Amino acid sequence: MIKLPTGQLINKNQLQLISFGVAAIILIFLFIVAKPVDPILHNALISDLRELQKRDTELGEAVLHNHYQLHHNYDGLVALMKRIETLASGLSWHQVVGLLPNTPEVTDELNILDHQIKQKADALEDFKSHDALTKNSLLYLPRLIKAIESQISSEQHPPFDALIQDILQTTLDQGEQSRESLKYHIEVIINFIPFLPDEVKESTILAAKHATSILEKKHEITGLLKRLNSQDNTGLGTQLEQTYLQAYHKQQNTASVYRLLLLVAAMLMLTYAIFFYYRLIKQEDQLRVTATAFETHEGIMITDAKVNIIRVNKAFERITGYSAEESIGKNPKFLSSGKHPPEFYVSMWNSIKKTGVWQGEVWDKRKNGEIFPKWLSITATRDINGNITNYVGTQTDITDRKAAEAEIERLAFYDTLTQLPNRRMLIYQLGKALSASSRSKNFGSLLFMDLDNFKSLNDTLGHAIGDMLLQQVAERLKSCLRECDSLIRLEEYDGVARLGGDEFVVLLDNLSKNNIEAASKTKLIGEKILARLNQPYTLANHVYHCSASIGATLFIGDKLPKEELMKQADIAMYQAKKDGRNSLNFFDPIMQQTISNRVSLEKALRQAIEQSQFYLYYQIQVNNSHQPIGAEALIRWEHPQIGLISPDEFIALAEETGLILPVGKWIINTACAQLKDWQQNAHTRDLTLSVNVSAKQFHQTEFVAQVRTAVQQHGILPGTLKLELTESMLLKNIDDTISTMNSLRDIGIQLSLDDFGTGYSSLQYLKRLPLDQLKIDQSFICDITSNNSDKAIVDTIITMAKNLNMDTIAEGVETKEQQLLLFESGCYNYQGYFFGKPLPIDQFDEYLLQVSSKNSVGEEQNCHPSFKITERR
Amino acid sequence: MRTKKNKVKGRHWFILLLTGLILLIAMFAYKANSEKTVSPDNAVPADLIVISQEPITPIPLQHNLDPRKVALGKQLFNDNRLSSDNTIACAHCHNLANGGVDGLPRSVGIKGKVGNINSPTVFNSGFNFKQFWNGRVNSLEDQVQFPIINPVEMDSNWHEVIGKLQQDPYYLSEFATIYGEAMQPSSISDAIATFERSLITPNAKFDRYLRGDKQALNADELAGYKLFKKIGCISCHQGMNIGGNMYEKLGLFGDYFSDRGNVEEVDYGRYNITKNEEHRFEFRVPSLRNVALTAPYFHDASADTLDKAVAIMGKYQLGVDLQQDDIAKIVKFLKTLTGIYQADSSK
Repeated sequence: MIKLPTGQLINKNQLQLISFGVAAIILIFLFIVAKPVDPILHNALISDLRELQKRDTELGEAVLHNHYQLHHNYDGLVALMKRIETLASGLSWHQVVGLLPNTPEVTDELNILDHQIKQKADALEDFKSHDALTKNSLLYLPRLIKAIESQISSEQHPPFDALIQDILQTTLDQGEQSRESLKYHIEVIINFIPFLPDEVKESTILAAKHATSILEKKHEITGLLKRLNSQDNTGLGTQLEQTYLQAYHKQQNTASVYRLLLLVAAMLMLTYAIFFYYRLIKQEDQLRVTATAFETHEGIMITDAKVNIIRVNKAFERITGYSAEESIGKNPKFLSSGKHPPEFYVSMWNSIKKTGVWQGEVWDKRKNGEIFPKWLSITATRDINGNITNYVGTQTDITDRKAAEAEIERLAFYDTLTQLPNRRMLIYQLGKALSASSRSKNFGSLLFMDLDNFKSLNDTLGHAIGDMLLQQVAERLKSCLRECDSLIRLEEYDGVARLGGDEFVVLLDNLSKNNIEAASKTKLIGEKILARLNQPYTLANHVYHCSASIGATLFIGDKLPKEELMKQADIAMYQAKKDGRNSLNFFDPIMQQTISNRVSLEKALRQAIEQSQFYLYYQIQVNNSHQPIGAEALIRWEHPQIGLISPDEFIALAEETGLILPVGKWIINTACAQLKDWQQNAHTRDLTLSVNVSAKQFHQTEFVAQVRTAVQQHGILPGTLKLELTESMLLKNIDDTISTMNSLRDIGIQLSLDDFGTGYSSLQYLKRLPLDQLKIDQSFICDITSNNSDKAIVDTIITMAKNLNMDTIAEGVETKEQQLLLFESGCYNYQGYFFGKPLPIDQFDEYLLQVSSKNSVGEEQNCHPSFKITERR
Repeated sequence: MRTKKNKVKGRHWFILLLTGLILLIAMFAYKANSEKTVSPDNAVPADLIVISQEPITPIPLQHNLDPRKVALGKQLFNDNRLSSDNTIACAHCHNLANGGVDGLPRSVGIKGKVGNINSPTVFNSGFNFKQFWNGRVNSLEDQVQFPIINPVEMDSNWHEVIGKLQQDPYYLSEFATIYGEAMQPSSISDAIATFERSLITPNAKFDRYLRGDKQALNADELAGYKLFKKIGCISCHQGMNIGGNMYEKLGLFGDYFSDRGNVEEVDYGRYNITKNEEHRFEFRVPSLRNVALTAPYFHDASADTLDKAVAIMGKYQLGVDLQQDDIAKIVKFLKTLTGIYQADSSK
């Protein structure tokens, strides 16, 4: 990594690229510089120079040949000269193209050459002229002399012989001597001329002219021959050739050196290229591996820094259902299923930005709309500067895994044969139920169930049949429990489990805050189960009857460990078996007893309704003058065997079992009948009768109708009937309550709120309830004289009731003082032992009679607040 | 997947491009270096010296010139537009029907302007070693421009001539075809010179004699040839063109010009070119081929017949007082030097 001055980082690859470029430039440069002299041009120049020299030599030879009559015309000379001139003029072109160095020296040499050639040309012309002339003269002179000599006598002959000899001599050698001799002899002849006869004077002058010509021209020719034959080694162009060759060799050497450098550089580059190639191969291998890795089973998605998909692999396409073309360019959010809130993605990206990685389970949507889970792992890749360049996401479709996990869980927690939860699951659920129970403070129960005589079935009919039975039992248990949903609200933890073999467990949760109630519910369900299981089974071709033994134990909270509970249930079950099978037995013997009792009582209660074992007792209600204003009707049960049973003992059960409805209905009817009876007599005509109404009754849809019917049927004054309602029963569904109350008042009956102050009602809606009377609970009355708080409360109640246009009546008044205090506070109606206890109707009627007669007698007694204390009974 | 492949391909293309670029540069460098293989045409003649027994050699029976150039040159040779008033063509002074000369002592140019010298024949002028009486021009190509620019001859210039010739589609197409470029002085000169070189006159009686036909010459003609040699005419009038290959002074034995009188500058001959005193009164030895057709003779046209010419030559050049019958024989010989111009002698 190299840092440029600009601050950018160059990585190795870029550096290599740059160095490649530089190397290429160097190589090209070397190549250009290393160019040798073009061999073609070089050869051309050398051959030109050589030819120049050759022609030069030939010219000299030809001149000699011409001179010595070996050639007979000058065409050859002309041709040679022309050739030499052409060659010489061509040499400067070589300088132009750079073959000859473009130096002043070379230019000078070229100029010299031109000059030399020009001189040669001139010399040649002179030669031709002189040569022709001389030849002619040499030819003619002898003839002329002969002609002259023939015309004159021999004594008059000029010394032509000597002349001829001299001439011959000069042709043979070039010596100075012969020339001098010739010159001399010419002079002699010239001097001879005056002495000659006239006819030969002209001729002799001519002869002398020829001889002179020969002499002069000969000499010149000698010089010309010398000039035209380069004797010394300065032939035309030799110097130029040398100069050129020097430069040529130098250039060649330089070129060689550069070529060598080029070779070295190329070798280096080749070596580097080999390394590079080797590394390339390696990288290709790596790339191949990477490519293979890319096409793994897992879906891979690569995005750019802006989280736009740039590449996906085949697994991705397969998993998401979207092809590469459809995915590339988009943000992966097109895959989201909408199952995750936006915060999920926000935190995901925050994690990635902070740590560079994230992984977790994500629910995405395939192209076909299917939502599926995947395990997604995202990694951010960064460049050398640390900036994020890409995100790589790997995803595995974990639908199968999750299904497998579910399957494992199922296998781990569910019994294969019956599909019921197995022991492990049960223990887990039990633990949860216990925790829930401790929170809700509700009792739950655990039922252990064992099929009676199952083993013998297995032995006799075989395990296959036995399995079949178990499956059917399981089905029945499940359906039975489903049906019990109306009875008890089945919670999450409720259910049937198979412990193993023929042991089943039923877990019931959230039964009741009251253990008895919880137990009775348990008993109910248990009985149901037993009844169902008793029905015949069809196993293959067999019809089988089976019974079970159930052991039940209650639990509340998690103080008791699960194992203990299970042990209890187990023990209870064995007890049930011991007790004769086909029954349910509670672990706690007391509970068992209680339950048994309860069951009996319920039975008795049903009977009581059928057999009219109920009676109404009446407790007097008086005003401050001790005059009866009405009574409260209280139910009593006269059991033939047990005797009188107080409502405490059976009302609760009645309400639980729903038997309160017929009981309540009976109460209302009886009360109406009684009122009817009273309204026949004057002294009882204005009496009101208060009847306790149970919540169950009140919330019956036909309750109002029932009351109306009863009132109408018996034809009583509705205002004499007073229904006592409790706060708690009014808490539920206030609007319905108010509407029912209004409906009741529409009938004309009165409504009284019993046990006021003991419930949880708020004053907010007390004002909304259409009430006529408030009954102050006896818990306030009890200590009213001693407890200031109680007194304050009572006062408040009385004041409030007054302000709300309600009557008040105090309950449980037992002392005079209490009454006095109440009176002072503004409460003028009382009920309690001080005034009378609940009496059966005949006794009550009698009392009424007594009171009425007393009253009619003692009028002033009304004025005085002093009372006669009646006997307490 | 696709994008990755594209990226890889992109890289490949880049490297290929780079390599290609480098190769291209290298090739250009090399080519630039080796482009200078074209050197001037220095074709080496095979053999410059032909040994021959005879001083005179016959001219070739055919030239091997480019027929297109010859045809073009012929057109130009006969084209009056080479002169400023479009009246004079080369053929005006060098009439092919008249032995290649105009037969006048001095040539007449445009507007009747008289020149200062006798026109030599155009026939066989290609075999002369230089052109003009004073040898101032080395080749026929170099000669073409001078009549054009000479005020007393064509009185024109290249610019004018080319301007006129360019109007002619024939010239435009011919020059384009042959020379591959627009008309230029060099190409016009080349065409005309090529035509002129084609004007050879082979098969003169003497040539046939030289080629082996001993019957070609009769006794007198042969005697004339022998005299020609014996006296020494052959010393200067030798070679293929029977002259035309050397300079010689006019008036070797006797002062020709003083005797003639009215010496003009043109009479100085070669001296006018070289300014060398030695060269005063030197002229190019004319060719004697077709001499029978080219009267009057000598640069000054001082001899209007061959007989007179021969006599003058003998006296002043050889210092020989020739007898009439010798002159007659020589003249007979000279008449055998007339060759035959075949218009289409290019084979």
